[in-house]
Amino acid sequence: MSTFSEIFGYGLIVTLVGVGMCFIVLIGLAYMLSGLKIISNRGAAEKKTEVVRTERVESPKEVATENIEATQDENELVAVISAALAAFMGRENNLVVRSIRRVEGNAPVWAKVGRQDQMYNRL
Amino acid sequence: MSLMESLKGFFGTMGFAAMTWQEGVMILISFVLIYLALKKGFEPLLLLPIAFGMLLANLPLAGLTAEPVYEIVVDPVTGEHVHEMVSAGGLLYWLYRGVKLGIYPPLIFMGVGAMTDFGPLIANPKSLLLGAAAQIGIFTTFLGALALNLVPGLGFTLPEAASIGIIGGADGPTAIYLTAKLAPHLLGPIAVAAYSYMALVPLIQPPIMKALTTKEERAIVMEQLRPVSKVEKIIFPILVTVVVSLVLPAATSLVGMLMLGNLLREAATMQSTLNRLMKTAEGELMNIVVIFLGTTVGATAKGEIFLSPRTLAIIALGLAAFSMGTAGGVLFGKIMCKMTGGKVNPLIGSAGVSAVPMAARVSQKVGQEANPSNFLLMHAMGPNVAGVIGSAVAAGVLLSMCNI
Repeated sequence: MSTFSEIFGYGLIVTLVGVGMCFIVLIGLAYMLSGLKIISNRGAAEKKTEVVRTERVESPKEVATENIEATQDENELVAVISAALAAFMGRENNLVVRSIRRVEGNAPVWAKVGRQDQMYNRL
Repeated sequence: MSLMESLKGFFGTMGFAAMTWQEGVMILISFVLIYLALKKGFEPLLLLPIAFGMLLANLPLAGLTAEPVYEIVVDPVTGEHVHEMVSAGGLLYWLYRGVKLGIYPPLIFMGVGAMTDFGPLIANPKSLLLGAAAQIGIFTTFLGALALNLVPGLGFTLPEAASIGIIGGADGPTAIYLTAKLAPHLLGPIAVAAYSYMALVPLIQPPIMKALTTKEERAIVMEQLRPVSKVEKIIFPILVTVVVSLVLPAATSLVGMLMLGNLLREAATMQSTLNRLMKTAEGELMNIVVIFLGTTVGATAKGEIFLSPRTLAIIALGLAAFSMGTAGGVLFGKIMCKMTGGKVNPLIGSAGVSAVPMAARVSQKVGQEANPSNFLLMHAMGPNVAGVIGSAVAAGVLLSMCNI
């Protein structure tokens, strides 16, 4: 391969093969990915319920900790607790928070963790 | 020995006496590159080590890129001929082994994979096509470089032309990987051209994008991408590795490491212990390799090779490569726009030249100029990451067909 036309001709072949390969490989992958979508649609449905569940688990934890830890901004605290309760109970409940009492926070840390653990297991 | 003679002798050991004009010019070029990296923010992460490596390699008598010297001697005990190291070779010579043997670029690819979210691509597999279309820039430039053989004194061989073409992949590690294998003597100019143009993507692309599309096309709002499940994200890297390596074994080291990094990233959400590996791949390991790679690639830019009309040709061809890639992506985007009845904004096509994530940001910006409430960024990320896979595939083809 020495003359210009030979080299350039081979270059054209390389170009055709190269562009062709790029398209073939990536089109193949695109089809396989579309196939993946069908498989994972079932997974996606399961995942949705999972997400809701985890949200519910989170809310009581917030209530518990907020009750225990006294903060300065009482109004904000009340709003957070009400919101957490509303999220936990669902939208159908017409929830009115009438009073929020602070519980003495002298339970040891281990007891608190144990209580939280039990709550997670039940829910 | 008189004072004058000894001073003269000492002057002889200094670099000034041995400096050639090419080395002087290269040192000045390295200063300009350092300025561009620091002051103008041209890909500073790589351009700064490259520029400093260039500086180090062109300092006369420092011998940083010197090869080790061996002598064959007769072993006094056994009487056999054995190699004895006379000089150990320079620091940069040994660090450069990682480039020469094709070790650093795949390691960087692993880090890139660990940082990349392929979600937008999985959500919209059609964008893979745009990643393929933008690789047209590589091959047109390859042909352009071969056509320069008609100009006397400016010829490029087949492997050299392939290395120049890969600039159009807009993917630094891929370009360095291929060039180190096919035409290592051109590594300096090709790396500088590739990284400079990647930094200039926001200037190069918009005029081409605007010239090839109408205002209505640019204003197209695309449908929101569907959420992608964890299972898909885990299967994706495995699938790509298997498919690409079976079709193109030459691309395995690049694609395989890219996908290993990505698998670490996605699997870390399931097994939190994998977080450590992911952090290392995308963090410290990548940083270490970037320093080694940048410095040694810069050090290949020796004055006597770099300062030739061929370098100017490479820089011109590199610009052509980027422009053709952009045009190819946008034109294919237009075809897809027509085929889907106006659901695809052709601007995302230009992101098919890799240059992650700069090219996607350019699509976003140009799209927003036409329609201020349009957000193309995530749509453009699909072709953008597909471009990385596409240029690795193109590199695999060039590697297996032009390695003569």
